[in-house]
Amino acid sequence: MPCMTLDSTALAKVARDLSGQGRRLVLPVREGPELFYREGADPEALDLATIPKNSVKEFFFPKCDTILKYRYTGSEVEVEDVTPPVEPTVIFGARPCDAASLSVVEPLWNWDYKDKFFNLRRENTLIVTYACRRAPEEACFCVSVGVSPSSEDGADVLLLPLDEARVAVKFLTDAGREVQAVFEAYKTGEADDAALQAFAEEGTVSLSHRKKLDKVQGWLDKHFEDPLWEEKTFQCIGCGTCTFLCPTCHCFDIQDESVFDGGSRLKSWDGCQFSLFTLHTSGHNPRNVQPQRYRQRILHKYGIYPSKFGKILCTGCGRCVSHCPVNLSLYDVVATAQERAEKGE
Amino acid sequence: MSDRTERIREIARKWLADGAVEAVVGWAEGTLGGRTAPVLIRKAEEADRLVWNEHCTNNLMTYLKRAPVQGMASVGIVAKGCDIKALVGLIQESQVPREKVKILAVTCPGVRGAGGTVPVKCRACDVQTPVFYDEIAGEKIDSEPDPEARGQELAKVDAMNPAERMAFWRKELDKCIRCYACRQACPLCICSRCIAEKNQPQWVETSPHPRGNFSWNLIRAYHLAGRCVECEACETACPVNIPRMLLNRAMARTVKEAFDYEAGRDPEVQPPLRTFQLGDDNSFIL
Repeated sequence: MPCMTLDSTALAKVARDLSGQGRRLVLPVREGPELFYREGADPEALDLATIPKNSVKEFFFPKCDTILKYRYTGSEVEVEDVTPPVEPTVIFGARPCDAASLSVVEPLWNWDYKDKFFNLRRENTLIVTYACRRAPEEACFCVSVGVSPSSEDGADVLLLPLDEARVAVKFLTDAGREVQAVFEAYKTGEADDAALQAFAEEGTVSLSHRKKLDKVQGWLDKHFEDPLWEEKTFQCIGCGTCTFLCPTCHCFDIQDESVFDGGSRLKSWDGCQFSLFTLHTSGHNPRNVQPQRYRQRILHKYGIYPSKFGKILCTGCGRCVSHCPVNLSLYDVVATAQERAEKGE
Repeated sequence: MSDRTERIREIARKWLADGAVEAVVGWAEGTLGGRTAPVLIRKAEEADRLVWNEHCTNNLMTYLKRAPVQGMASVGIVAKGCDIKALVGLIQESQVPREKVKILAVTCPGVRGAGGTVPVKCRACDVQTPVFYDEIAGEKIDSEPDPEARGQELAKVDAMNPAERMAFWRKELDKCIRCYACRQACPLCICSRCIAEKNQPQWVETSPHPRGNFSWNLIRAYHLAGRCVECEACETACPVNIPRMLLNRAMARTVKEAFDYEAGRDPEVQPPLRTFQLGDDNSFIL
């Protein structure tokens, strides 16, 4: 089915119009040498050159969230439930790996407890995905984990930049179709199925050097103890960069912060690469050295999470590869596990 | 292959073959273009993995405080002049015995920062040919430090009035996500349990809100006063691009003015904030 196209110069105007309909606007903008998704930026600053350094995670699961408030009166404690202030939001120009991350983590936030903090924000956010004509970064490996450079997963509207000048637009959900008129106002033409097909192929071909990581889970089941963990992770310095930039990492810490007679309970990002993450009150730490902590990250993403929720907890965005301060590549580690599984090791 | 790479491999191979060191920490080819990766070489025959190029940005001294290097009796470490300054600090503070570390110095024409830029530390560098080492690789380079380099960025902050300066830092520190990459990359953040991780009492709020972020970033800057050797490892590692070297350079400038001391120069000299002398200027408290 043919779909509409518009000029790439109209994208900033569409973002402005969507925001003009009473939505908080989040879009990628340039800060120094890198891009970041930022809230409230000028639509004219829209920059779609590459994948932003932060993920869209922070707009659904912020780095610090107040989840309840309390007040002491004598020995009585009064607890006030908190509903997060949520406004209708559009994330304009999310990359496919970011949009896909939302459907990866949705079952987690709705597993036993239905997390209203995530759900309210998710329900109120329109995702306009900007597909990748070719892999934007050397570290990209989305095709390895079942995502593609033109993935529709998680998107309400999908933008496909067919060339420098033309962008095809697909409306994928009811929420997406509701804003169709905003895009139609800038329509300049149509793209046929062949053009869309060619676009999707170009993206996939640009990542044809990447391995499918379909045997990693089985390998992990049998190699909890393996020399690979130490061999590959010497350089890890135990910072949280990989987990905090990751669109799917979702661990958090809970802290009560009190001032005099009351305070707040805060939920803040935490990460499995920290030594304190598993430190017991007794002083025992089951993950006492960094290779064990790195193994945990891989196990959770490629073993535990898929066995529980049926999806790999990774969308191949490559941030943990690009931005690791010591160039420890997660892809390199899991691709090695895959290779060894293929050899029957 | 560059001459420096060849020479580094040769020295590392010899040290490992002779049993002079248990292992050598150096840089290997990275998994991405424009990157190298820190590597631990335990056998002489693996020395060929070592490389030298303009992407050898990491300060490898941070590995001295970590397993497995921390537990070794002797280790070789490949280092630029700026990295060696950090080792000087560690020796001064009795964190690492001098005899444990064999320094494989490399003369350095400068490394590349994000987007191929020249880091401030390289523009200001006066140790392109290191002065403190066991062996050295590379031709001697006569440093020509740009005297303006370190002050240029600071001057922008100096020029702000207090309200502008507060707004500037509020914006920058709001970005902090408390990943602690700055601390982890820093060779001189040596505490086995950081004050940010102590909760009895809780000195620093761990939540990444403005109050917690100010506490954390300022306390880290204070803890590095007179100690930071301006290797820029923290700023390079920061995933949210906070210009944290501004804080460190401002502290270094104050220490220079007050004590005429620069960190990382001489392992025999006691750092000013670790010593007390009767003649010290106390006018700032009295």
